[in-house]
Amino acid sequence: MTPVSSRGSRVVLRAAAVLAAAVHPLALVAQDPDPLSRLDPNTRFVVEVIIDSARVAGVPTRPLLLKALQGAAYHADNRHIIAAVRSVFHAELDVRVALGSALNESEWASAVSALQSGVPLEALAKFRGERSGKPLTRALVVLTDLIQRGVPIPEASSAIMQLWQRGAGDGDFHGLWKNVEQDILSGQNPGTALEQRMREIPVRVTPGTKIPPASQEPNNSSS
Amino acid sequence: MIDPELDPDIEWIAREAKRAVAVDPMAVERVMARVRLEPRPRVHDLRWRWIVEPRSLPLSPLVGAALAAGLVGIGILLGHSQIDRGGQTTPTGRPQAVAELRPPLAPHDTVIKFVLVAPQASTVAVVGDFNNWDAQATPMTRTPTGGTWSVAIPLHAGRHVYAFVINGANGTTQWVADPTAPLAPEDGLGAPNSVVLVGGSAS
Repeated sequence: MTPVSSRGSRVVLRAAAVLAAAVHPLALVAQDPDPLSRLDPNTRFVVEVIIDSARVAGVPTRPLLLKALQGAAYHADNRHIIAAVRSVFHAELDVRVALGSALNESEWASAVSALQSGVPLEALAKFRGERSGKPLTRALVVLTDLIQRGVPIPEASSAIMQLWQRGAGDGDFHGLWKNVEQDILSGQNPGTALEQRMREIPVRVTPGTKIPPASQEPNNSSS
Repeated sequence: MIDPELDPDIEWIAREAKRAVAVDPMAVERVMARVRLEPRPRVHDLRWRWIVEPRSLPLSPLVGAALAAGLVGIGILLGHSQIDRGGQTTPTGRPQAVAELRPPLAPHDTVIKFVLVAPQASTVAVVGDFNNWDAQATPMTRTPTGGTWSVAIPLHAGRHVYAFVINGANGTTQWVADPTAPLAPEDGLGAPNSVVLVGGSAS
């Protein structure tokens, strides 16, 4: 290293030091706070243990953190917060069994929601075999919503799987959800509403896709 | 020409210095051969040497001070820009947890407008995974005409879970799901949740 020889260079170095001192605190305050500080110490400890377990298990940890924050914001009691976080963790482990771990963040979350809404693990696993690179999120969000609105789980799972196998796109799933929701709000039986609306969706086939007969249950091909 | 009055020794030295030196006719060839054997410096090396080679930088104190002031100004502007966009100015926390939270905003985010009709509410906010479920972070604005509340916020592509927090005039607080959005399952907390998908196939 050549020593700094000129007075001007020393000035520049001092300027850089001043800049670093000025920017550093701003960068710090721009970051997020300690998010788990909203929890009481005991709850926080348990949540951190669960998060650490998830990290070791190789499943996403952010949904666990968000669930804890949601519980804190909702002023849920500590027992419920811990139970909710633990429930998400266990659901993530199940999702990994059913769908593997090559999922993006939204797919993880929507698959966890589907399981928590009552979709059986075997039904969820069918999406794995039929996936072929398509994003799962939209289908699983609609499936979860239909179940939440009262459509029986077997019917909802079967219908969404059929659409999935037939190459339905985002618009198809969204349209189905919108129409069934309107029918249910207008007083129709949820299961009947889904059955009728399913007939309106055109079949869109991608090359190489095997189409099961509409009246038949989809193949048990997966996991 | 030699001055006759010079000392004989000096005269001898001058004579010797002026005498032509006999050069080996092969010397030039030998020198050129050695030069050709040396590796040719590459352009990349020359450029790199130009970059890393230390050099003196003549700079007046006035220019140096102006440069420093400019750099500090840029730093302050960048810092304020981050704070304004994030909406949160808070100290650092547990590194692990902080790393798991996303940055507040990215250039490719999509602005989503949340709307809720709640004529009796005194304040309404939207909470969700996009604001770390912070009920203070995203207050909604009441339209001048009536009881409709709205807020537009940029969201990352993907699936987001959220709810509305309605504060009544009598001090009550109520969480409600968005009646126009898909529902998320009951999560053990008792809080109703909605889902918004941002981007194609909610990537």
